[in-house]
Amino acid sequence: MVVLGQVVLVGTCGVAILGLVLALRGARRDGLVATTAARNSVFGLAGLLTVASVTLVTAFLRHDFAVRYVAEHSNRDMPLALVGAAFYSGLEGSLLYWSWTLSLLSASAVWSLWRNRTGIARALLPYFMAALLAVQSFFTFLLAFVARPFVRFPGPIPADGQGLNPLLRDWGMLIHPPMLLAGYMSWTVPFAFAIAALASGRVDNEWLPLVRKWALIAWAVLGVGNLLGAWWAYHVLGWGGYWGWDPVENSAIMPWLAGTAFIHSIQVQERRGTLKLWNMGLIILTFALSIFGTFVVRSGILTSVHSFAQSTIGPYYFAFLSVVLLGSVTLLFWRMPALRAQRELESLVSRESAFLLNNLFFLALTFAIFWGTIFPLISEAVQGLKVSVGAPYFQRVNGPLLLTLVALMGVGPLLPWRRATGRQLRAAFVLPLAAAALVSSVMFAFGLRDPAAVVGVFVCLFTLATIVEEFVRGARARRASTGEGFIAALWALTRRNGRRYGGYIIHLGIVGMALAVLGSQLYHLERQVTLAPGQAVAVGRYVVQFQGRREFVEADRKVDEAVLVVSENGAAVGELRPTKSVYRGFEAQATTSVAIRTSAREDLYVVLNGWDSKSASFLIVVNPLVVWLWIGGAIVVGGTVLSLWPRPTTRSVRVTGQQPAGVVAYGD
Amino acid sequence: MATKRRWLIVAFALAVSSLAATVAAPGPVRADRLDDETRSIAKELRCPVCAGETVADSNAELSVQMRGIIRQKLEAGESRDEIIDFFVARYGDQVLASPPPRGFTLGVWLAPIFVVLGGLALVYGVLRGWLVRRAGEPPPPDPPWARALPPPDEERLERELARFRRETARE
Repeated sequence: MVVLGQVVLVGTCGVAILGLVLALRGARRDGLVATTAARNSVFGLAGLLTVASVTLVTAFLRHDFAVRYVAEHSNRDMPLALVGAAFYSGLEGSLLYWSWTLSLLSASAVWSLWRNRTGIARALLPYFMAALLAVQSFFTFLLAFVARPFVRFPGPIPADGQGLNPLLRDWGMLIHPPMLLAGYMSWTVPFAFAIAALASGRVDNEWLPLVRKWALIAWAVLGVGNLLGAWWAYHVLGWGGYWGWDPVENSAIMPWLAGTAFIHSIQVQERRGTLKLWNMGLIILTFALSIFGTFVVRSGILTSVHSFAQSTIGPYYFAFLSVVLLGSVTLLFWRMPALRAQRELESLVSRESAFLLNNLFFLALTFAIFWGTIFPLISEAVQGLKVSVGAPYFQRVNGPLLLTLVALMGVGPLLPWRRATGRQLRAAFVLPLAAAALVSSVMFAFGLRDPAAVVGVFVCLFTLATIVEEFVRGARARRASTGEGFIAALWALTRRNGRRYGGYIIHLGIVGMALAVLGSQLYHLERQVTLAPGQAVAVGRYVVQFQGRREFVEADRKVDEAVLVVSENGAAVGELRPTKSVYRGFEAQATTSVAIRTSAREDLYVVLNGWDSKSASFLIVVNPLVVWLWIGGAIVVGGTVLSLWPRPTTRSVRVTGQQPAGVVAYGD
Repeated sequence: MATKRRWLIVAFALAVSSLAATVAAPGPVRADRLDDETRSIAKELRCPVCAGETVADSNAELSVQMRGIIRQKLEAGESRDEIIDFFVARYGDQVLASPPPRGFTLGVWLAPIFVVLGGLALVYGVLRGWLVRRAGEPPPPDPPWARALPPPDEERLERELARFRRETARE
């Protein structure tokens, strides 16, 4: 196993470098043969990395402790699914996973570009492959020579492995890390498109339809990866929240924010032909932040709860990041003259302005997070004092920025391109503003008094109303012309304009998530209590009574479970059973399993913190609206799928009658 | 008479629902105000022995003790700032979960504000540059597609569009 895996990985490094040379050769005028060979090395790389990954997973499933990585990250007692997932739980395995998934994504992107017979696809292909293979050369080099997954266990082969870190022994392990790493990895494809456009000089708008799909996929995968992380933290870490502004979380959200700016601003270029340079810069930034994120999580330069895999590969990453940035920026300057924008705008109030403000606030948010994340390092370097920049900073700075973005999400899509007149503004905004004002004043009358909550709710409702208005207006127009029922018109509208209405559905999901964040941050209620059996505590509308505690042994862990009876407004509604487990081999580290009672309105969240012979201590939290975070996330995914779904084919209809003399050509 | 009764019903319904909302609205339970205050202060302090957790969230022994101290001091009538200053005097500025807005660490707070202000100026500048028409110039003529069609053409366009939508919808 060790030898096979190591040989294959050295082979992949060779294939990647060879493919890179071939792809560059293929960019010449007579380079068709070399381009074909480079394409084959992209496919070959996918094959070889699949063999390497299958080999490692097989070694895990067979408990082959002769492989050091297997012995260090699994044992015989772990459930089979987690043994398989241990594949990406350490540094070497997660690098292999990164490289493997990139090879598969590259192969499918290259395949679709190869079959695309347009001139632009032909021109980009060799450079596109060269950029992908250059990234792969770095990762396969690390795998083959620096962070090798296939190394023999030093000394006699152990009878059992060390097992996975208890914090990772959760079903979340099967979905969060692979999704997040895949999200980081996926930005390589849009980045490679940008590099190909720059290198080939085809920097006009033609490359945008090619890159759009891949950028949306990367955006969705990274977003879901982040959300799954939030969900995991919420039900495993047991501090009552879903986002802690930890450096690793921050590094994972930064490329997503920059990428969000990118998928918005390419629309300006598509429609108006401007912002070419800016879009190139944005995608380079997004990719660099993805690499930075992988670097932070793997180097341990920042203190984090995610420090599962630390190593000495930091300098390699740093070198790679520098090469990426220097190379891309050089290309950008070289093509600067071709990236000049054409400019036409008739009013400062227009869709273009909304997009620019969107970009500004997304980047300001990215900057604020980046700055807060690295400030401890700067402080240490400048004044020799390690300060901490934690949640209070991020909440105070990012809260207003996020709310501004939600408001822009309502305003932007309703503004026409080029210029908006006063009449258009009134027609678009009077109704949503009135609806939001009405509902939020009713809520104010009903006890919503926190100023932040009032402003937040007003903004969310306004944006919600603009989206609903867009759907209703579109469906009405369609209904008027086709005579369909309202629902049928709504469906046909959404289906036929998936790109536009898919975007609105994504915005709808984001509003849901914003409301969840507002509710759970501002109306979070919690108690830390110590209860003897039979004692009860009131938290909000709930009364929680501690019944007793029991212990049992399950596979390789000892579980302590507390049983609590919950009543809501005086009526018994069920039991909650939070637990704490200690795994064999990790006696010093107990893991928490939170008991959560979820409703559309709020979560009741109970953590067992500790106990002695007479009593047990709990953290009891009432977290309003949290479920809407997950529902909103699902809506966002649905909207993304819809906007990527191919449009139903349209049929042309012959126009009847004679063409009158003196026809004017109507067009832009 | 009838209208008056209707108003009474509406007023009654409003009163009942607002009462229900007040009862049901989440809000601090009065008896536990010290808990909330303890927690809110603990959130501003970093657990000195943990990796990136606040005193409020950490279950390290030291954090539990610190929460106890906060509560005692609150019971003794000390203010929020006095309590935080007490911990800063003991552990230094590093104990704060976010750096204080003074001296060198003021930079962490100011930089994002400058970025937003600078960005706004930049966006304004870019948009001004894009403007075709500067202040004082007459508005440009409407592009051909924005001009109204002669009535017969307009009518025919509507007719054909309606037919097109009908036929495509039937598929």
